[in-house]
Order: sequence, then structure tokens, then C-alpha cells
Amino acid sequence: MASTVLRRLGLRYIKCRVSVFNVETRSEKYTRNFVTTSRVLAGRLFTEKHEWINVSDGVGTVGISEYAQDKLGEVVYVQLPETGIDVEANGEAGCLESVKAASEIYSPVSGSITEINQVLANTPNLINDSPYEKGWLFKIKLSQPDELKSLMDEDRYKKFTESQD
Amino acid sequence: MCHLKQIINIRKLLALTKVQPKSVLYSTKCREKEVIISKSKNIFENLALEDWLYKNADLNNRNYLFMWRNTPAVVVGRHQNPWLECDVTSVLREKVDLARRNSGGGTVFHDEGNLNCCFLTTRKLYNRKSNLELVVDALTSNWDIDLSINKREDIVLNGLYKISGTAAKLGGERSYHHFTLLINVNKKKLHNLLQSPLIGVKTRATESVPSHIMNLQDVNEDINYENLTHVISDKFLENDLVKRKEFVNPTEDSYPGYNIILNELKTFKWIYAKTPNFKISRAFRIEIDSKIIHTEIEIEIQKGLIYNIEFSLKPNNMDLTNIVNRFKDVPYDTTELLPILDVLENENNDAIYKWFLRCIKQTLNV
Repeated sequence: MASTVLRRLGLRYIKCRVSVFNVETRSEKYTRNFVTTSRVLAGRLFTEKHEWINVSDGVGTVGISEYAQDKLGEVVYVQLPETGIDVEANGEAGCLESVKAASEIYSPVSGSITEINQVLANTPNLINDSPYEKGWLFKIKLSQPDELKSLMDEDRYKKFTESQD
Repeated sequence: MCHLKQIINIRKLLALTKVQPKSVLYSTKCREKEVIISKSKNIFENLALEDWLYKNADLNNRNYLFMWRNTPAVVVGRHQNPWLECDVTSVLREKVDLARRNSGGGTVFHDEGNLNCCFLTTRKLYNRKSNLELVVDALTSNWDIDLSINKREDIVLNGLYKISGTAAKLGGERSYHHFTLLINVNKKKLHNLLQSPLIGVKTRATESVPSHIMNLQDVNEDINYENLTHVISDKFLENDLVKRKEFVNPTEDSYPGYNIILNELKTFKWIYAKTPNFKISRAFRIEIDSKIIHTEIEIEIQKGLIYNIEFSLKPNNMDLTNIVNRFKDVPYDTTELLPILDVLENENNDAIYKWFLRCIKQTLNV
């Protein structure tokens, strides 16, 4: 009896925390709408394979860069990893299809996938229209945050893409 | 004196214009080149070797051109739905292979009248247009035919008929671009097999764009697999002194790790279960004992398995849940479904029951 009550309480406690978390993320999203594009990019780190990651509280949001979406052309299909699976830094973590080409997505860091952007299933072209905001791909709980040190900040990435053309 | 100066200037100019193309040539020359032609005529073996080369070949130093042909096969793109792209039942009945490749793009039919070309290089040097141009150049310099490259990067004959379908796979550092070339493909078989009998499918899978096609032999009977591979290899190796060209048998001994790729390509998990989840919805009506009966059925396929069957029956005077429950998690595969349907058919003789079963059968097209 007591244990059921406790379990119920525990459940409620968890639910409570989840809802608080939701509110937090939502408010974060709202504030984001007001900042300028350069501020939006400020926290982002980039890989040489043109993925970006934005980390907050140990969880990184991952997407592909403006440069990458432009090179790919219109994305028509997005295959994302399953939530809960572990991926390694530079390991395959999905695939994008555009103009008859299947392009691998690589995870910028090691960790486990906590969430995928479900909206992309029906509207894959959000990756083209809003690569840094609505077109994010997945969220990952970092297992080795030190890996972030090897990534490029926006300035370095910009120079890197210039050297690629 | 002035005259002399001018001449010197002109010489300088000439020298400059000469230097530039040389340096461009040099930069492409310094990459090694190799042509590999497979002796296998099995689609799975050739796709496995292609994937092996993509993963293991020395792409940093060498460009590869891999060519092959295979016995009849339907090959779907990486994110496609085979049930929607072809008549799976006919394909299997006619002993045609059904394969899924790693690259994007649409479904193609291969037989021995089709040449497959695959250009493997680094991601940086990936250039579909130049590969297609090379092939067009090779063909038009040997035969008097009208070939061009259209906006979708297909090679078209006489400005209208597609003779080639393109697709690509891009990794972080590696890439390949492959395409078919129709020499003398059985067009009737192609049209028959690339038609899905399924009705009422809702899917997010990438769908093929049907095109008018033509065979190269329709315009020039001299063109065949042997001379085509020959002229394309020659063009590819044109500026290469070593001229590496090999005819190979794909085996584990020559390509360590090849068997793992081959076995994976043949699994239900890769060919069928990779299909993006989809639903098939159908409505049926019938008159039994002068009463109109109406049903709507929606079957959901997830990872190649029947995940859920929803239905309505009007008038609702019979419990049919027993039928639908029997299909839960059964692979969407005729050989698995037919025995279940047979068993169910013998369980009840009621006319509505038997009709509903037929409706399920028709919805799944088994």
C-alpha cells in the first residue's frame, strides 16, 4: 500500500519535473525568436563535415549548416537515428536525401540520442528553410563533453567553408 | 625595337595561356585512375563490391570506375518503398532479384542489356556532371548518336528518351555516383515489373519519376556491353599512363569484409524493413442476402511488419477482430501471409467473414 502511494508520488514528481522542463525549453524557444541571427549562431560549434551542435545542460542540439544545406539542394527525405541509441563522434547518425543523392549525417560528439525532430518527417525541407532553427535534426546527451574542444566556432567554420570553395 | 617588345609581350602572353591549361591538366593527372569490371552477374554481389570499394578503396589517391551488368533485378533507392515501386509478387514469381541500394534516387530495372557505371572519388571531387559528360563524350566520339544531359542529370537520347538513371551516395570524405545505361534492356519486362498493383498507399518514401526510355541499340545496333565498357574505360583512362584495368570476381579473399556487406544486402531487414513506415487504406462494399455491407480497412506497415489493422464494418454485425489480430507483427511477405490466410479461410464459412478476408487479401495484394 505504502509503496504504491510512494510510487504514485514518485511518478507525479517525475511528471512534474518533466512539465517544468517543457516550460523551460519552451520559454527558451520564445526568447530565441527575439535575438538576431548572429546571436543565434553564437553558441554553435561546427564540424568539418558541416554539422553544427549547440549544447545546453549537457544536451546538444544537432543540425547541418547553411553551407551544407545549400550544397545539398532540396532535402526530400530525412532518416534519423532512433532515440535511446548511442552514437560515437564522427559516427553515422542518419541520412538525408536530396536530388538523388543520399548523404550521411555524422554526429559531432559521442553520446545517446534523446530526441529527434519529428516535424522533419513530413516537412524535410525545413532543413533548407531553417537549418539553424526549425530544421534541427536530433538532440544528444553528451558522454564526452571534451570532444567539443576539437570543434570550430562560427568564425573558424566560416573561414573553413571559404577555403572549401 | 618597339616591334620586338611587342613580340616579346605576345610571346609572354602565349606562354601564360599555355601554362594555365597545363597546370589544370597536371592536377587531374596526378590522381591515379583504375577501372574495375566485375565478372559477377549477380546484383547483390556487385552492389556489395561497390559498397566495399566505397568503404575501403584508396579514394584519396585514386579515382575508380567500377562497371558491371547483372541478371534481371529491380533495384530500389535507399529510401524507397519496394511495394510501391514495383509488383513485388510478380518480381519474386519471375525469379527477378529485388535489391535496395545505398544511394538515393528512384527504382530501376536491370538485366544483361544494361550497363552499370559507378564513379568513386572523394566527396570534394564528386561531380556528377563531369562523369556523365565523360560517358557522353566516349559514346558520341565512337558512334553517331545524339546524346545530351538534361536538368535531372539523366542522359537523354534524341533530346527526349532517357537511357540512363543517376543516383549518388555521399559520405564525409567519400562519394560515389552511379548510373545505368540502357543498351538492350527488355522494356516490356521493365514496364510490367515497375508497376505497383497496390492502391491507397500513404507514404513519405521518396517516389520515382517515370520517364520515357530507349535502348542504345534502338539507334545503333553495333553498341553492346563489351564495346561500351571498352570505350568508357578508354575515355576514363585517356590521360593516365599506367592504364589500370582489371576484371574481377568479388570474393571475400580479394576483398576482406565483403561477405558481411553481401549478407546484409540480402536480408529482409535491409530490402523491406528499411522502407519508411506506410499505410494502405481501402474501402469495399458487397451485397450479401440483399443487404449492402461496407468496410474500410487501413493497414499500417512498420519496419516491414504489419503493425496494425484498423477497420470498420457496416452494419457492424460480426466480430472480426480475431482476423486482424492474427496479422500483428507478421512480415509483409507473401510467403508468410498466405499460410495465415489459408488457415483463417478454413476457420469460418460465414459469407461476410470470407468476404472480409478477401478484402484484407486485396488490400495487401497477396
